[in-house]
Amino acid sequence: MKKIFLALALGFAVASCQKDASGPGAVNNNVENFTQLKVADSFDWSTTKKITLNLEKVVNATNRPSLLTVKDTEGHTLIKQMVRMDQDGSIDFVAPSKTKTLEVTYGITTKEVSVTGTQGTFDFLPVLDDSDLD
Amino acid sequence: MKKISYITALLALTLTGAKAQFSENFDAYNNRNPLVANCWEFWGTDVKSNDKINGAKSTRSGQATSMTNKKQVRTPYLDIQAGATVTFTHKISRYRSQDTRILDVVLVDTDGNESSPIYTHTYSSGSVVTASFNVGTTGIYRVAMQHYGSGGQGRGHIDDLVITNATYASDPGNNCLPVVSNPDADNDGVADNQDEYPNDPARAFNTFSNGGTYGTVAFEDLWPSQGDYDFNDLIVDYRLQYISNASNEVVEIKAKYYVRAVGAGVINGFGMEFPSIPVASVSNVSGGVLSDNYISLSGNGAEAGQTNLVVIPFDNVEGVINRVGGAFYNTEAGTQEGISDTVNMTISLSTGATLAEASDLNPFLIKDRVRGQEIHLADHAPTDLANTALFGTMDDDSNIGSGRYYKTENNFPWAIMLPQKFEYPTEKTDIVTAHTKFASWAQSVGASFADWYTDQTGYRTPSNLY
Repeated sequence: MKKIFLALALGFAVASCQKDASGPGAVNNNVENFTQLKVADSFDWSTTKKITLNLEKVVNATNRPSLLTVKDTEGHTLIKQMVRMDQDGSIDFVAPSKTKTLEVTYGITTKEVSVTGTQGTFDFLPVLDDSDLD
Repeated sequence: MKKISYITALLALTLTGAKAQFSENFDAYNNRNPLVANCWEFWGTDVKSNDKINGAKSTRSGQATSMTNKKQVRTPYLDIQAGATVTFTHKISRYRSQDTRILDVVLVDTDGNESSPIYTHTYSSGSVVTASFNVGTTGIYRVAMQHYGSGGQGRGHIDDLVITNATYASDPGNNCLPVVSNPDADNDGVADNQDEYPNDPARAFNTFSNGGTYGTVAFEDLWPSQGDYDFNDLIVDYRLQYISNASNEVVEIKAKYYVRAVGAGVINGFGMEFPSIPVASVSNVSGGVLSDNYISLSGNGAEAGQTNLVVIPFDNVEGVINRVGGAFYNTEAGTQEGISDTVNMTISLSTGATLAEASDLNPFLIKDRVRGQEIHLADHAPTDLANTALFGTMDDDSNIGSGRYYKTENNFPWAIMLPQKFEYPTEKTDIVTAHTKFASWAQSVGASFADWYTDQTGYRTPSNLY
């Protein structure tokens, strides 16, 4: 009998802790129209985001500004900027929220840069084929 | 001590007004990559501490045991002036008298042609040798130090290179081409082959919103009442061309607007605020299609009475669309498609903006041609001319104090903006049934299906789209 009471008490406790399925923030998995959506207060409905691409300088590099180009994975150019290799820096631009990878080109160096949240990092250093070294 | 002598030499040059010099001691690098980024070339050679000559690092070639496969280090292109001299130290490791080891120094011109050696040393020991010689010519060259030989084993090493009367003349962001090969007609610092306005010093680059594809703004126009969520009451495609100068400042914006659908019962207008561009930074705006006399413009063509730049592409949508009959324009399936004029606007800035500032967009619908009735994207503030007395009425749950705008109590919006052309629902079709991943996107706070609007298998119900 004691166990039955305990089980009932536990059941009530769990039920009282469950989120109200009709309250804000609770996801409705069977949405048939817009008004059935459960949308968090914080959602801004944006399909784009501002990305910050951080640039890591090259030691003892020239101070001559030159062209850096950022493209998305479909080849669309998102930004062109004159930048210097001898300085840390960052550039901001708007891209679709779905953006996870950027293609960044500076002279002979082209790299894929991963975007984590709104941040990516590019370091100018070329990826060399070291097969000429022994 | 090595660093101090370099600084002293540099200081002495500065104080005496002597011509610039190019120098490198290789100490700052873990490998050759940073130097390659800076337009050096390494052929079978790296930067290492092994058998270094001086300081922390020297160059270290592979086995220089071929007379033809020369291991070499080439400087970036340098502008070599009259009286230029070259000084450096070099050696061969694992020297044996029965082997042949040679170092040549040659100049490489801008076409890649090598000169005959301007310095040659045939090693007779493994000791460090100091090379010092005149270049003997002027022009744009790489200086190439080449180790080669035959027999046994032996690596070449170079250190403490100083070239007087020479300046750096490569362009690392332009495939390391010599700067003389890249004329800059407008002298703005951007080589002609990268300058999209090579004869205009005020302009250098074009960048487009959404990478050059049209984006879309889609509205529900019953605000402050909730709508039917077909998001086709006004569909405006837009593309902005940002023209920036060599200092990365946007100096001009060319905007195109195209009305793709009007599923509305009232006649609306359309505006776009640039919240990060003060109107005082704008010298001229042109191209809006205004006919109904409820929009006032300032002398610069921007909307009057605004703190930030606001442009009005059209004040009456009927002035830019060409209907082919029917109450709605391009929202009912099976009806003949109407076309819109493209509204071309040009915005000239007197004070440049960053691209991020110029990309900060706040589009809005002007409901029923009543200037104060603005409908914006969720959490986008109204302009100075909006009638905020409408906030909090009907279904609107805006709260100016908390920065909450144009949302219902359930956080529903009246407008959405897409980074590509939006395939919108037909008249009175709920967007949730047309774009099948929309609900998951919204309920996950954007974490799932951020690409809900794209054309992927299972993402759309084609019969519910116009």
